[in-house]
Amino acid sequence: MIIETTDLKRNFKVGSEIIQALKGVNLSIDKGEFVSIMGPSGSGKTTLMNIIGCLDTPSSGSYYLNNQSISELNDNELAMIRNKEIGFVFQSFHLLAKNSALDNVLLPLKYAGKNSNESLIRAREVLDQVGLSDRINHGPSELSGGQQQRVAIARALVNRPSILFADEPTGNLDSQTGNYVMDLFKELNQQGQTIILITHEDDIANKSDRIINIKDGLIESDSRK
Amino acid sequence: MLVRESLKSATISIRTNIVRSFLTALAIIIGTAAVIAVIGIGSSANKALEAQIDDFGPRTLVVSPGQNRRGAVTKGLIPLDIKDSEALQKNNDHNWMVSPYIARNRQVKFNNANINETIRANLPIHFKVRGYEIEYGRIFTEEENLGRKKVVVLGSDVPKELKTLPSIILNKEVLIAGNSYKVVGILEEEGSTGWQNPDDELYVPLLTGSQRLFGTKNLDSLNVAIEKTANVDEVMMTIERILRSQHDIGPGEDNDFRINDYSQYSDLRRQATGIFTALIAGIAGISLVVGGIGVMNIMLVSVTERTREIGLRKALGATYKAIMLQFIIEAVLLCVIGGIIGVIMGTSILYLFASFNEWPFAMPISAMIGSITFSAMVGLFFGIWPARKAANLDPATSLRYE
Ligand SMILES: Nc1ncnc2c1ncn2[C@@H]1O[C@H](COP(=O)(O)OP(=O)(O)OP(=O)(O)O)[C@@H](O)[C@H]1O
Ligand SMILES: [Mg+2]
Repeated sequence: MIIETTDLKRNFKVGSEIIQALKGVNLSIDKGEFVSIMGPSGSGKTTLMNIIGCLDTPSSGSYYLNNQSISELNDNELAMIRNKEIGFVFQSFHLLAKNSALDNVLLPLKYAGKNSNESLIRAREVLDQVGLSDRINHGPSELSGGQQQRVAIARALVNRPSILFADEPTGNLDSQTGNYVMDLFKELNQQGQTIILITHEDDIANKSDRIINIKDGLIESDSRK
Repeated sequence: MLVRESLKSATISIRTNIVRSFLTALAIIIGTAAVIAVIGIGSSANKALEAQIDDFGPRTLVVSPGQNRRGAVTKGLIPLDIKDSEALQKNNDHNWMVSPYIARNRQVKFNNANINETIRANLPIHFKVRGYEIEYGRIFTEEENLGRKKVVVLGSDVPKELKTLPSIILNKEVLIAGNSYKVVGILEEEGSTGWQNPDDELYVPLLTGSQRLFGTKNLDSLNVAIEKTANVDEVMMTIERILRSQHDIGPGEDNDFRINDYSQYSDLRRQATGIFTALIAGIAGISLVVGGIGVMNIMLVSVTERTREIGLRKALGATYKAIMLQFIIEAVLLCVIGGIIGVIMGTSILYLFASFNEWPFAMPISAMIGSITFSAMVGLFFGIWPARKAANLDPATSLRYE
């Protein structure tokens, strides 16, 4: 089991009001799975991803990543796990605007304390893998949306993470480019990459092996193909 | 590695907001420029002062009339006279040169020219003590002094003031206060020392001046030139002993004369410049601190603007320390760039100032390094708070930030 959560809850305090974004999520995901998380807006998908991606901590409940209890880790250890075990792809790409594709991809390697020739080789390798070897010195403003998202995917993959998280990765792309990105995910999954993907679109979700539906902070359904 | 990455992102950030960065750094630039200019001007002034003192040749002590209080009654200035000077001349303990003078303004006429100038009555040795060189003719002799001869040596500008040429006036007679004096020599141009202009004066033998021109034996002042290696305290004590016995001053009574060491003045002046420099540098330092507050302000704005970037960096694995480093380096870089520009500006100001005043250009390297280091420290200090704010941001919330 790569991910194992029990009764995961997450409350947000907004003013005097308490919003229960997650109301007790029990979830297990195996290595090599390709999981889609679906659900209406505000149902808690991003909140769940943030917690299992170690960007956020739950209000209560337990979470084991690679059989390690995450609640016992301090900020530095969490940063290290995000760096080594987790790759994020966001809807709005989140590339550093003034840095080249290569520099964007090198960033997680730098935070890992690596900055050698090997890093450079590795960064070029992943950029090649996403089909951008001819664009490595271009900045985000010189790339199309699809190309930017592929740079972001290369960046997420560069440290060979255990899990790749993608929060609506095709949300800002037209359907053709979106499909291309999904094909890339499919291919990565076939090579053994665990992928957790959040989406609104059935077409996209149907490309994965398992669909989890969330509603009001709870898992409503969980189906495998 | 992270330092390099931080430097890179700092450079990018400063370049992206170049106008804002410049305006932020402006206070640092002005502060540093002021520090550098003031310190530089102070040290150049001292250099100039030292050069002046060296020009003075051997060290000179100045004995001047002072006040003597007997009981509660103040008796006014007790004069020094020619006898005092002669008593000092007789002593040979310190190999000194005693140069007394009396100076007054008198009417000087030559042909149709008529001027009012300083007439200085002094001994031939005066020219040696002051290091004045003769250009035409000769200086008057000791015999001419003892014979009260009516001879005069002119400062280099005097012929022109008398509307004539040195070659014409040499060996001619000029009228000083209605009496004929023979011009025996004309000095080289010496340049003004600030409080005296030797080029404008006319020099007559001491006894001639005392008896024929001024009708007094009282001296204005007595210069005692001593060797550079002489022990000033011992020399002063000898002068004191001789003059006290000349003036019949009993034990326990105060001196009725003063002995001043020129180099004391220059020490004082140096000290005053030092205090002045420290004061201005302090004020400039305050402007650096104010600049630092500006930097802090802009860095806080920058942190807010870049919340999503910070969230992303954290998502990619940046630790608290890495984010701290990034923003502190940005603040320090901003200040150091400001400091470097300020040093360049301050040095240019100093250069202009020094060449305008014909001072030597003296810019202590330590002041340059010091003020750049200081602005770096200002950046470090005022960068800490914004950097901590950035490093403490919650990654999940930051990524949601619009
Ligand atoms: N940091 C926060 N502070 C306050 N409320 C929050 C915070 N993060 C999420 N929420 C609330 O928690 C609930 C779930 O939000 P979440 O972002 O997980 O939804 P989502 O399923 O990802 O929605 P969408 O499909 O629109 O992205 C929402 O009501 C949201 O307003
Ligand atoms: Mg969401």
